[in-house]
Amino acid sequence: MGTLLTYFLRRVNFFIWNRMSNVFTQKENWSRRDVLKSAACGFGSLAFSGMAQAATGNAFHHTPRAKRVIFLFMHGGPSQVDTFDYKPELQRRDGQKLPFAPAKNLDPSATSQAKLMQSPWSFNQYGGSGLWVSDLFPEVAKHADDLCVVRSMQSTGQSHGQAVCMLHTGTDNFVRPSVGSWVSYGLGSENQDLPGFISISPSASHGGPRNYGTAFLPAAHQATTIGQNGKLDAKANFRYLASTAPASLQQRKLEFLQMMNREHLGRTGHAPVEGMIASMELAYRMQSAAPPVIGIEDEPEHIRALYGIGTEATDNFGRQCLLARRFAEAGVRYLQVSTPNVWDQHGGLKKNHEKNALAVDKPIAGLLTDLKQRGLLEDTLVVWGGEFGRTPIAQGTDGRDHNPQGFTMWLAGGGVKGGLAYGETDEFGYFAVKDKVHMHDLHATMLHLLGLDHMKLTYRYAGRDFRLTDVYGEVVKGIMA
Amino acid sequence: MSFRFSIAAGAAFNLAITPLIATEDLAFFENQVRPILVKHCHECHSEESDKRKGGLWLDRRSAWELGGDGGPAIIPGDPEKSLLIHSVRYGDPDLQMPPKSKLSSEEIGVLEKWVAIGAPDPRDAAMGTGVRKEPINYEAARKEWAFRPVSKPSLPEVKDTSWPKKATDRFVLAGLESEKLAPAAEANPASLLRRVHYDLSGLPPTVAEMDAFEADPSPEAFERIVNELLDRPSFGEKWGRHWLDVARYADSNGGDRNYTFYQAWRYRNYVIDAFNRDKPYYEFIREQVAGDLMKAENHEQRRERLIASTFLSLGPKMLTERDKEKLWLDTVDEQIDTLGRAFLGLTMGCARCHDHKFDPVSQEDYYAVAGIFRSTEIVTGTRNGCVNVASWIEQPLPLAGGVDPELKKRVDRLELAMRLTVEKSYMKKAGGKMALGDLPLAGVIYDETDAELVGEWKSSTLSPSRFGDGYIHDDQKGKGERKAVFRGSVPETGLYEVRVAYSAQANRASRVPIRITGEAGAEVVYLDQTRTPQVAGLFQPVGQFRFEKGGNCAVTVETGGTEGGYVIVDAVQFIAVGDIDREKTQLASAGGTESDPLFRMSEGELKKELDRLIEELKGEELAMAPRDAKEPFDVNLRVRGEVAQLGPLVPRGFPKIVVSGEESGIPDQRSGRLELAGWLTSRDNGLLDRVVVNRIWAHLFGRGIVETVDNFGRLGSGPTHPELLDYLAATFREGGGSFKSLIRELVLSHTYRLSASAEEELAEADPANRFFGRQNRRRLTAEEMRDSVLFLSGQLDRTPGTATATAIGIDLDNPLSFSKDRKRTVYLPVARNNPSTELTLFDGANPDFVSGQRIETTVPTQALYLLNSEFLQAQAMDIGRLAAGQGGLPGTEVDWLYRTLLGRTPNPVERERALGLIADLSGGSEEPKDLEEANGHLAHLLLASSEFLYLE
Repeated sequence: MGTLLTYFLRRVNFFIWNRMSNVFTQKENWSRRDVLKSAACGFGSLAFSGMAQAATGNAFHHTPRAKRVIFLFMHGGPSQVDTFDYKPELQRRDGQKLPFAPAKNLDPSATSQAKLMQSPWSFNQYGGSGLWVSDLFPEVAKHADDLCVVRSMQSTGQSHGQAVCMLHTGTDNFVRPSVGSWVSYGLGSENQDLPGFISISPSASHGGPRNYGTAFLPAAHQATTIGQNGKLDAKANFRYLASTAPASLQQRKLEFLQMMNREHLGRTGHAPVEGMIASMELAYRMQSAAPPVIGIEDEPEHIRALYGIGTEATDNFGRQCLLARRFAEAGVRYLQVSTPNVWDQHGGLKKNHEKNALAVDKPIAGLLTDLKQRGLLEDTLVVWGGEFGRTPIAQGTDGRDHNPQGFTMWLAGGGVKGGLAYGETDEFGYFAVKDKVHMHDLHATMLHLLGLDHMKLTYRYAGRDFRLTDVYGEVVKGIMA
Repeated sequence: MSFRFSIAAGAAFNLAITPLIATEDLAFFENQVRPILVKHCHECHSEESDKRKGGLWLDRRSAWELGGDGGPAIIPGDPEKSLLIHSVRYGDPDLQMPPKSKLSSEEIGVLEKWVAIGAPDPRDAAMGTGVRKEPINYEAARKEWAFRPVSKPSLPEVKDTSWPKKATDRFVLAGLESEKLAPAAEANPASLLRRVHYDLSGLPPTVAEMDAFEADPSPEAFERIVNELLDRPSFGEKWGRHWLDVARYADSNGGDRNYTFYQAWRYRNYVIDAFNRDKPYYEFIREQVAGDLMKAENHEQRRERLIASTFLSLGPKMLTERDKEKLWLDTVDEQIDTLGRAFLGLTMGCARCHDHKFDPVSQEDYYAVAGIFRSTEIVTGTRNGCVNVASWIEQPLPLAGGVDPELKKRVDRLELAMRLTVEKSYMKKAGGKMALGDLPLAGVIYDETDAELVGEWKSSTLSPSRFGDGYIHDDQKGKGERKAVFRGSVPETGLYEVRVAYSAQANRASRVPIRITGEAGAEVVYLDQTRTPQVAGLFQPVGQFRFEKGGNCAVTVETGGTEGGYVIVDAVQFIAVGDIDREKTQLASAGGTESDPLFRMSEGELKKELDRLIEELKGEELAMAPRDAKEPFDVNLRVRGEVAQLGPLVPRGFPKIVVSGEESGIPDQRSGRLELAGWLTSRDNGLLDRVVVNRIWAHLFGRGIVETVDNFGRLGSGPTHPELLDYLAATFREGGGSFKSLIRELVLSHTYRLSASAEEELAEADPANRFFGRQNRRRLTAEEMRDSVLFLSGQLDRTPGTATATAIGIDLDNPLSFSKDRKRTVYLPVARNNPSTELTLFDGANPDFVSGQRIETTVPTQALYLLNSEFLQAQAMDIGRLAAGQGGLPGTEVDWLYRTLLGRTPNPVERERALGLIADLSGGSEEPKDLEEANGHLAHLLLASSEFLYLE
């Protein structure tokens, strides 16, 4: 019977952000028989047949190296050869024709000429590790010895829509659960009063909510969002969280409502009503638990300054990063932090990459410093990158086209080797050639660091076991600390 | 280099005898080859690793001879034809092994040498059983419950003959009796009335309707109510929504660009109307799959059928996919997947990459159907002027006198504008040239100045008949050495006519070799330059060739064997065959006043014009309907589903699991969609009937006879009552596919009337209610919640909605708010990626998927909504004001609220408690305003209560 009980608790867990079990255990008269009865005839057993077969959640497959993830998404695709993938050969052969065939399906305005374009920024080596970082990221560069720079990233999708979905959901064309939803499904939240997956200022375009949606996973694993399109308003809040009524009024009303619901439960014995009663209580608690986390105003001035808050260029992303740290501290599993869709420099590379990097450099460095000084970096995995990189060949005179064939992302913290440059692109930074890491591999690795096996974290939907990495993905052992 | 894989290859290697291996070859293998294979290949391709990626092992001779998904890995003696060598050379971006890093050139050299000397390999282990794929046994599969022909079972004997009211009750009772169980009692009249109102109309009964039924709860009265509910327009609004869930209906694309589907609403209303008019299911299906191709008796039917076929266009698409062939095949995949799940309860989409692992759908079956949809046009042109962002087809709807010619012209013009925009912006980007002056030549044109010249060529402007500023000639020298290479680039993969421009004269060469390099390799044709070219006196067509976007595309004018005449090189044109007619028409009127100004517009002007045309047409009488391609064709099977990995060509056809009278084949000149619709709805296809009757049952009884309503395959749950399922299927077919008849039959059954509460014994014995001995409770759907609240506040606008999404704009990227809308929810826009919170919070259907039954989740955000939603609170306040008009005494107001919202009067304890709440919240004030507000709070709580949300 143990399995049935576990099974029921898992079902309970998933409908209520996975800490419902303690609500039930507090009930004195919750007999094993009641559990069995509810489990069997309870909340629309038809609806949950999918879950019944696929209750893999809430269990580590192995010892985790990280407890949570902060994913810093650079929407639009920053250029690897202008940031973290230094290519002297590209600098030397500026203006020359690419000596091999460019990637398929590029814009013909880039490929008809296929001329190499050097980076307008210079590169320097930083830290004990001597990692190369361009002048675009002077602050992040100071953390070189914490960065694990993967220079051989590859992804699928030559256009934003596909590549953004690939990065967030592991597929460029189908509708599938997002990474954060998988993590929430697999591990739940560490904080019973907060969701397990929060997306800060997600984009409405290029798939929009699909990038933090659950697709066919239970709806509870959808991200809760705050802010949108890379902007975080100072008054941003979770939807419906703020009560318009005075606390005393709400409390009085809630009392009445719960009484009604309990009587209804008594008459019907219908298990979902029990779930509804518990979720009402949780909702009420959330109303008081969330605002203190969201309100960054009580952070001391030196911390706010660390993130660049108060300085025009960095204020917005600084607040996003600080909020991410506060959520991470409060136990949220998966945090997605997005810039606006600004990194897409088909033209105006010099001016705009500079502006974009300026807006995020200090906030990101601040986040790394802050996580470290609080001892959070050890078990927080920070991931930085865009949906793809950019071509070393020019588009027009001052632009680069999309490049999922080879680009750079970096990781820091929870379980990865700092000061490491992993993988290589060719001499110009175009195609990944050595120790290639596909987006599927990154996903597999992120799950691995969280204690989840990407082959085992599955969900049965419409007669098939789905997983984040589909039939692909290999854990990149070479980057583990 | 491109490989065509043969699936049939390597079938008969069982008897292959390992040849004797020379000692030095053996040493070479052991010392040099084996270490490479072990180090770099075995991790994914060996029995030891328990992995067989791509279906390939490389740990024994028999394995690489058999090969993987792509056929044999090695052709002994022929490195150039061996996939192993092809992949380790890293020349093909789609096939590189080992995947993570390229081998060293020394290692590649060793493997090349090994294959070249005949791949001597002493590893002669057998393949073992179960390794080779077994073909699908259709014969056996056709005997399984889901696929065998439907035969109407006789009614089972039951002990309690007085219990069944309808034939279906006999099956249910027989099941219960066999388990020695007794069904629950009947539900009380109030619960039954509320249940049937919601189930058939999605709305609660009014107080008057409750009073009437409670006064006379006889079966006859109930039957009258059922008949009346089936006749109300709200029936279609409720049941149409069930179908819209299945049809993954949305008002926007979702995917990567969330463009508004301005015309989708017509399909939505078509569905609602079809349910209200009780359109036969088979006609309903045929119209959705091939309505645009069906004959129509009059313009109204033609309209209806065009609109119905919108079903195929409704899916989410990655419109910005740059590889348009992939976009096409992904669109096709979405259609097949939807069709499979929606109509057949089969996950046919699984067979895109390999034979279905569990169900009788082969990869060939999949590509047979894929050919049908690939020969159907849905995606076309550009939506926003960028070549990478595709749009979709819309067609004018006929009026009494046929299609308005003006409207037809405007729609054609929009397509022309899209086409020209793609062409122009592509031509500019690809380095091609614009047409000459006013000559509206289509396609991509390269002038002689774009050509790579070999040998010496002379410029000339002697002849006035030329493209661009001048042309060049070989001066009758260096014959055979001189040539001009035009390297082109086409905007999308497809069939193109290649044309060569020259100024014709008697002294020209009469047999000029023209070498065309396309997808199929190189081909040489000969051109007589003494004859005047056919197109505008300038361009001579030399044949039609397939070119791949980003692939090989070159035309070389050569001089070999042209002694005695000048070879002229002026320009080369690549024109998509679909554009030839259009160009011809335009050339005929070129320069005249009737020539469309679109041809003279710059790229920027075209983009503006495109926006304007889209905006102007969005409110017109159009349908988002597909159409057959001009030249239907079969598609190649794709190895592992990868677009670039071509397998054998598969003739268009139907899945082999159902053999019907419609096997006559598909005419070459038709897509086969009409035939597919016939196959689907054929009497022999019992699966279609089983799936639909099961859904109807599930909507009325809370769970299907087959619990997994969208999956009738082996991984589905199977039927609890197979005879009942077949009885319903046969009855449905006999009745011509009438939803209303079947629903009436089921709602009037005894089983439907049962209480949701069961005696202890029944609940213990059948906790999951597999025997339908009682009714299943269900929560109100998201739509029912919103509609009910508006209905109860007296604000529901009952007029049907029309183009509700048009008001929102070109895309549905921003969150929608319905707080000001008063129409029934089914009429409000469904934004993919961005559905309104009310819908998503309470488990509305995800419009990206076929959803035959909704799931029911309970999460705290729902509670937050119930507590804090401004819409709900404002509506509750309005209801509070209505309550104030009901008598004036506080007790009567409370009674009215309970009766109106929950369908019952409060008991004395509840009344006291409610009065206490009102007194508290009004602070004891007797002011009408304060009392109204307090009543509003009570209404809010009743609406947020579980009793309101869950149907008995």
